[in-house]
Amino acid sequence: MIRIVLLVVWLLLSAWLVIWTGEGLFGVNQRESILPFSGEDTLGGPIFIGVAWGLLLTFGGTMSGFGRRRKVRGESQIGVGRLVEISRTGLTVNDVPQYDLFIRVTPGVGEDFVGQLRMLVDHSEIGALQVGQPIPVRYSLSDQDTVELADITDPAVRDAMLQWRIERGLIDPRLVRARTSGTQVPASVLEVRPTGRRLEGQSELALKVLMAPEGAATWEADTTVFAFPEAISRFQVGAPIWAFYRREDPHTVAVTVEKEAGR
Amino acid sequence: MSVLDTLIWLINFPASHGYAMVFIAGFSILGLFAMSAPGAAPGVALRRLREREGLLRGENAARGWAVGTALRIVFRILAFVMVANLVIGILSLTGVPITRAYIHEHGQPTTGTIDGDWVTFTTSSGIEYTIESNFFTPAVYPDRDAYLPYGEPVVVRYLPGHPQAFVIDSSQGPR
Repeated sequence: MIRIVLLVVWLLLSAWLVIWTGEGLFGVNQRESILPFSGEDTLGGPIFIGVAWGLLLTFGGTMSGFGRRRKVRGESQIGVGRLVEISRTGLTVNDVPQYDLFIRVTPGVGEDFVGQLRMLVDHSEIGALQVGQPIPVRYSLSDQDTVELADITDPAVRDAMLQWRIERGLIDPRLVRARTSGTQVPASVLEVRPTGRRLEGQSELALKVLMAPEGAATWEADTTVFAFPEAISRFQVGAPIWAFYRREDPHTVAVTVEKEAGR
Repeated sequence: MSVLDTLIWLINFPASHGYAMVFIAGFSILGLFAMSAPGAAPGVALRRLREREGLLRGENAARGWAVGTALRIVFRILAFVMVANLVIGILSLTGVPITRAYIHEHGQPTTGTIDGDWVTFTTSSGIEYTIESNFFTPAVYPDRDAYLPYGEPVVVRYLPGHPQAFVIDSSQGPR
């Protein structure tokens, strides 16, 4: 809104200066002017208006480029994006460099788009950002230029991530009920073998897991899971993971790497 | 009306408004160059990436691109014009007769009267011009600081094609 007001003011000032120049070049009786603020004092008007015009141009124009929107406009949705490119903006704040992260978002409906996320990233954390990595984001379908980082600890974001995985078929339909409404228990990987299927950049693993609920007998179950290449090491034999099952069907098991809070 | 006359007439505008021009140019050059910089428009990087990912769609995007480029070119031209204005303004303020000498030499003489900062003269075609000659950049040549009493007729020399470019001839005025 304020940008539009500034633009209108700037255009009015531009028009004033153009007319002033035109009168100076073509005017016959230059004592008479159609312009406001150009009375007998012929210096004050052009100087004030010219300076205001120049300052608006300098600080309104380029600053609007620097101060581009950070917040997502309109109704925001949670989705999963994939990091496409990282580039430094050249700015540092307290020696923490600012980066532009370009994220390709696959919305629930509609085509993919690339949005921008500008943030400060510490030197020690930048190594964790790799092209191709999935990132939970808040996005808006009406303004696709900007995306926001979604907080993965937020249950709503977790649910959205889970929903996204289910929609993409990254969780086997047979396992969905166990994954969403089952009981969470510690488990360990007994066997792991890739099935060869790939989906959304993730590879499917066939696992045999040892379910080990606290204070109860253990049992073995077979399951499958889709994992990003960088997460596959978390499913090596012996790795501690978390599993979900429903009481009436303890052999239909869904697994995940990290414990889910509140389950 | 030769090309040189037209050029002098154009240059005479910032020269005769030197004081205001120095302020206008001084405060706007930075902004103009910033606006015309290749990466000035926000979203250039975004656009490049969308192109690479094959997600750029619609002629809308192409038209926006063309408008952006055209604006940048306009701002770049304006930036160089402003630099020229700044130089001309400063020279004129410090008393360098950039355009005055040419106008004095090629101008058509007539008589005019001075009223404050305003000079009134009638050209051979019978049109009466009232044009400013202010304290900071007086249109007086060859002696910029010559004393010219109000009310007395003075000799004015103007370019026939563009009477807005004029000088008061101080070598022939009343002493």
